[in-house]
Amino acid sequence: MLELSIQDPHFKEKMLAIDALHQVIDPELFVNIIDLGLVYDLDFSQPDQLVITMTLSTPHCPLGEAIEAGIHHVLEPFFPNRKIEVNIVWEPPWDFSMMTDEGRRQLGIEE
Amino acid sequence: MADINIGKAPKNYAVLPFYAGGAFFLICIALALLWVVPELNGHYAAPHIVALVHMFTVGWASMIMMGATYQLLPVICEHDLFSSRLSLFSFCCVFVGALLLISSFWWFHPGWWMLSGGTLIWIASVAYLINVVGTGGRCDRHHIRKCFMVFAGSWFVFTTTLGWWTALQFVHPVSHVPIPTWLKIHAHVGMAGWFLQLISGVSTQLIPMFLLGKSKKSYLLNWAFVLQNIGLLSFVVLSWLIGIHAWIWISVALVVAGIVFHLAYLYDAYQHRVRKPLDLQMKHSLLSFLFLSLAILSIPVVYAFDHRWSIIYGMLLLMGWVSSLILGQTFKTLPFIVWNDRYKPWNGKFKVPLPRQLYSERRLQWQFRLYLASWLLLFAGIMWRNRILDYAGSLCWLGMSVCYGWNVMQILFHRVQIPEHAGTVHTRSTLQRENAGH
Repeated sequence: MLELSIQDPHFKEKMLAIDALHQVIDPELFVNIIDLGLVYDLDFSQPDQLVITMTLSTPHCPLGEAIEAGIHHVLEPFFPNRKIEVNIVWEPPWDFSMMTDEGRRQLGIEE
Repeated sequence: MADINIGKAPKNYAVLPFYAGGAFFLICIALALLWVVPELNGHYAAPHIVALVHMFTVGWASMIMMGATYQLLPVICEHDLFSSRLSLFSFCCVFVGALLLISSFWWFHPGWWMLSGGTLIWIASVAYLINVVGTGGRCDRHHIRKCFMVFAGSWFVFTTTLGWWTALQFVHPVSHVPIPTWLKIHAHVGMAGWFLQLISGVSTQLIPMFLLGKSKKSYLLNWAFVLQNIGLLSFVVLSWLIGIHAWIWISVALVVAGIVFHLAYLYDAYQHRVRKPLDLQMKHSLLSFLFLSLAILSIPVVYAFDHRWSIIYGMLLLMGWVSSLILGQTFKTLPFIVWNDRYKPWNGKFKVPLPRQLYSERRLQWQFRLYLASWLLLFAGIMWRNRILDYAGSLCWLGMSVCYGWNVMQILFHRVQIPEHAGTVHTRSTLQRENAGH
């Protein structure tokens, strides 16, 4: 799960990236990838690189390419000097408990 | 890194023609249904009724199911489709083959016309099986849904072979087995082999996915697979060796038990769903399994009573179970396929529409209402032998088909509207605006 700490040296960049990633929608579920809990980590440790570690709601989802393209499109204008890398992982497997409250509300999931 | 993990959607030409072809045949069914109303209370082997049944089974159901498999199998197998060109080739064969075969039944022209249609459909089924086995063969892990789809493809080839063989018997009778027996094996292999097993494989993947529900009882699917196949295999062998006999009921019981396990798995996923409200597409699917259950319950009645119940049984399976599932799931799959093709390069660059905005929700509502009305009117019309109700039901079916076809065409011909500001990113917050400014 994506965690953010104010002590993190890249706190501001991470906030910016998270804000931008709210615009990338998983077209299958109609909810953005942050509220779905698909993004596991944002790595700014390399000065010229930004690595997004994430998963997809369905393995081998044909819409995965569209989501990856969306990530590049929203992040590149804010981080022009960093190469954007999307690292798809299947561990831990995604499930509904990883969604934010807002994501659950948008999906009409009852508590 | 992402290249290894993210699925590449099959080429559009491998999938979309099947949806267009299916919509075309659904309209043909509606027009043919209006034409054959006076014959609805006649024998089910009458040429027009046989043509209508093949419009349903080949032109409509098989067409859409083939297209949907080419899209879904890579997701299940977590591997790209074996060959998109082979998919297109299978479409050309099944489309032309269906036109030839159906027209030969309609005007009853046994001989080269019927045989050439049957040959093309057989070639399409073989091309389909090669593609399914080729894709599934690359899949490393064992998956019961993959088994369902591979076996469904094998039964598909078997039923098209039997159909072709039966057509040959009209011209050159070379078999000692009577034609009605061949026809019964052909029909049951088509229903319980091709349709049932493909639907078992596809529905147990798609429906839990759309309901956001999971079932941990995968053993139910294993049992469903084993029982359906043993039941059908025993039916084929017994019918061939001793004809349609009392022993057949054992085969029927095995297949029905397999269906019960399949439905039990879906019910478990339904009960554990996190998304409680059901949209229209899912209501169509739910209705579909209700029709399947009613069809199973009607089997003893069909054997015990008159011909009317045979027509009702056929309606429950073709107009009910198969059609309702396709009518709903089309709008759960097609908009995503087209959206992925048109909006993939633009996702995140401007506010792109959602897949469900690619068609008219209102037309879908009318489709559902007209479908229900059509079903009730046709059922009442056949039960009470009332031709006015039959015509009213057929007109509702025509209206439903127009709604479906219109929506499908709207999705297929959807064009991307690129706004002037495309390429600039929408900023959501002050933080982003500040940074974008710098």
